[in-house]
Amino acid sequence: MAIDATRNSELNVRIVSRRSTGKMKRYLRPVIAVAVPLAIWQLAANMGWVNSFLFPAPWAIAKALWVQAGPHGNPPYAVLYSLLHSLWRICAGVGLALVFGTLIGLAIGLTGWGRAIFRPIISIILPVPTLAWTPVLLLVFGIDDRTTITVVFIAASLQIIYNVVAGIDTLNLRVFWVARSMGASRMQIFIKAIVPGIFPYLLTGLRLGVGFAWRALIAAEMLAASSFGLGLMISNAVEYLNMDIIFGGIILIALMGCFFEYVIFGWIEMKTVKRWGVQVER
Amino acid sequence: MAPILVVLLLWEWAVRAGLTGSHILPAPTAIVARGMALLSGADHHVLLVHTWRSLLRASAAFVLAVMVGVPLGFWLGRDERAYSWVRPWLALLLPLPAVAWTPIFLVTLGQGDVTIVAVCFLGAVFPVLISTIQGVRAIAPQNIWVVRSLGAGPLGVFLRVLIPASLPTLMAGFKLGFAHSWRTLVAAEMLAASSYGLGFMIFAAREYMDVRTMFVGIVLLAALGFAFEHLLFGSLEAVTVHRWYRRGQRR
Amino acid sequence: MKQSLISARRFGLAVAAGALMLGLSFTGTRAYAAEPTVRVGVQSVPTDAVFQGKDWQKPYGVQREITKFSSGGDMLQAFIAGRIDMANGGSARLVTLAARQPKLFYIIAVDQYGGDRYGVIVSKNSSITSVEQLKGKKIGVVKGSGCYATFVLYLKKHGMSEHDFQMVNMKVQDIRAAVQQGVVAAGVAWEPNVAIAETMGVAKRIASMKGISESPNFILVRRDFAKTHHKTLVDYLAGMIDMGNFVNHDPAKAGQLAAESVSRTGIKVDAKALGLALSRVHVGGPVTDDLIAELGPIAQSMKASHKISAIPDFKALINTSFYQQASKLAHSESGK
Repeated sequence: MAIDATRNSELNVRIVSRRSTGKMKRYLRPVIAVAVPLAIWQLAANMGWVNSFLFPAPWAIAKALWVQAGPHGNPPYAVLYSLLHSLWRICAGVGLALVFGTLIGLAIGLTGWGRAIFRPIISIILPVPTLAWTPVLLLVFGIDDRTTITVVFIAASLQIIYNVVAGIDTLNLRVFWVARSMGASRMQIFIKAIVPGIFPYLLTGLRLGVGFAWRALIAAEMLAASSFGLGLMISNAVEYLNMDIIFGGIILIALMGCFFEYVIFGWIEMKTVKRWGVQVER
Repeated sequence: MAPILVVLLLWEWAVRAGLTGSHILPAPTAIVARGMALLSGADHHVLLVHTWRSLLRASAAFVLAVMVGVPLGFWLGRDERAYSWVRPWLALLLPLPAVAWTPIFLVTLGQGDVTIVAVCFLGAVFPVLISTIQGVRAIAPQNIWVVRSLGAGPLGVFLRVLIPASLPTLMAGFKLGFAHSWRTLVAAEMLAASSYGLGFMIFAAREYMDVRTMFVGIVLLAALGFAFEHLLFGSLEAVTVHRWYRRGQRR
Repeated sequence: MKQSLISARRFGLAVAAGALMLGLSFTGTRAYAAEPTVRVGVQSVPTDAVFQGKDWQKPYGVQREITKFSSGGDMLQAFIAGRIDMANGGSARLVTLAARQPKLFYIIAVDQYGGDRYGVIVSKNSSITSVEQLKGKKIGVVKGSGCYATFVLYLKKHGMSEHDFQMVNMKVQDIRAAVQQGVVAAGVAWEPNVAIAETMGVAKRIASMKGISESPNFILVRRDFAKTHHKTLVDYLAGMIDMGNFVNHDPAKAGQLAAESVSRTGIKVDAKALGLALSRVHVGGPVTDDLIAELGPIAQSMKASHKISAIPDFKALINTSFYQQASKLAHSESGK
């Protein structure tokens, strides 16, 4: 039961437009596709077709979010703080994961001892729902950012390790032989051959890792967070029956997820493709 | 397996030596003992009931996801115009953790199985749907022309080109879909289960500080997730993809 | 190409219909009983465990359909949506409900009350013996809960304020571990969390909120249900009165019953701990002016922080007639 068996298990799920349609269609269609259902919802709420306490109208949701994001929120600037706390947790966790995940991935891929130690442990940990860690971490760490950051770290680092190992496995070993026979040192091989070779995989791992980590973080915050966080904002709203904040929180979470996926990673990929000719595996 | 054994031994030793309280981190042997007790007749095999309910929910969600995701994926994969309308919603909903839907489903569908299955369904359907779309869109139109020119009808095209050609991505999507369904289940059961299910058991055990039972649930979740990923889908992949279509595994 | 598309579409429709049927079959399993049925929401708390441990309404010919919720907010949402006829609620949540949906429900009886069910715990090895000694230290609390509001009142009464401490917000289930691990110097929690931590031998209680406020939780019923099921409600409450008498009279025995009820789901909990927890709670009783009056200050502070727009008229929500009739009917025995 090695990692090989789970190769391919994490599919690159992203929507890529293959054919470029007209500019009008490209920008207008998404707007219409999203706006029309929202308008119907607003209408249904205004006409009293649905219980507006349980299903607040989009406009009411936007207003509630705006108030909660401002100085009259309760506590003041609550939405902003929640957002920032979630972002801080995901950055800290993913940052740690990037460092340790890459190191462990390299250890597994390049060294015999690394393979022997980490491989079995990781192939056991990988299928565990990340969220199942939360109660354990809560007991061990208690309640503060350590718990949520660790959840993010676990979720993200597994993806990174997995993809780095996959990247090393696909590197053509002949490259090393050629390099060595031409008198390259181990360090040179590492920097010139291995690093560029695994870079696209690292990027894929990072992107998938952020996606997994974001989901895990929200769930963990719903169950655990001590102060702020979008997940906690939703779970508090559940406690106090603020449906507008529940919906608003979900919308914010979706938008942030989109932001990571399309804006940040879209930008990184564009830059790296241009500069190093790195094409991320899709 | 040796490193795992070492970790377990260290853990056991740490608890026995008093480095960590048994009410915080119970020893592996204590967890196993509690698990055996829950399996025994004395507790009415309650662990089996919890596990069975969880499996049922996760599988129901997965089956629904396949039944909805695959046909929809085939359609959207073939119909460019429809895809362009649906795409923005997919882009918006895909990064959204399915658990976040739980509060809304609790209001619309109520506490219990329906909500849990619906949340897990949302967790599973996107990987299935998107991998199907990707699989279908990756098929070169020439393949379809060739088969059609050989006299195949629409069904023939479907069976001989669309299905086999998209199978590797489809299987990868299934695997990922089930993994997501299983992962989402824990959280959904913690928030929405009215009775039974491993997530419910963990939640209820936490409520009454029964740490050992909590760990039994977590270990079982891990073991079952491991079993699905490696044994079930591993062999399924081996049977279908590798036999029919060797391009599936990028080696 | 067009044709293949259509067949795929048809196939999709057929499959979707199948999926829908499967989904419906999940929902269609509710049993319809001949006896009048009350749909009740419960949570993972000892009093609700006692409620589930015995069919208290059976002698009065009322069926119960019990739904368990993981939080009080979820329960009240289901109550608003009409999925359950009865719920329980108190403090801020009840005020929100009263402010937003005043025509929806009646307050018909008391579920439980008593300041003693809120306690301050410290680690068993701690040298701290009073709340004063905690000044400047970290305390684990659940902000926004009735428990926390009562603790703030306690501090005020003893000449302190919440700013004298570092309040760390957490979920109540995590307070015990946080205290045990030394993440916080103390924790303020409600039962059964305090009693279980004490019985486990990992924490000790240094103060309770007894005499500060009663912090009542009320039994709520939907008005549409009350209108059509008057007698059922009276019968139901009679069972609740029996249960209250049983718990208040013999908490240890009630703890036993609660622990048995909990263990049916595979959870092991010390019956002594639940007995201790129940000894600190007063279960049931009529809605009194004193208890309702406790909602006033909560509503005022919520209005001040713009959580509600106006102070609800709680008197208009009370309907004591059900309880009065039920108390004549109840067997008033300590639960055979």
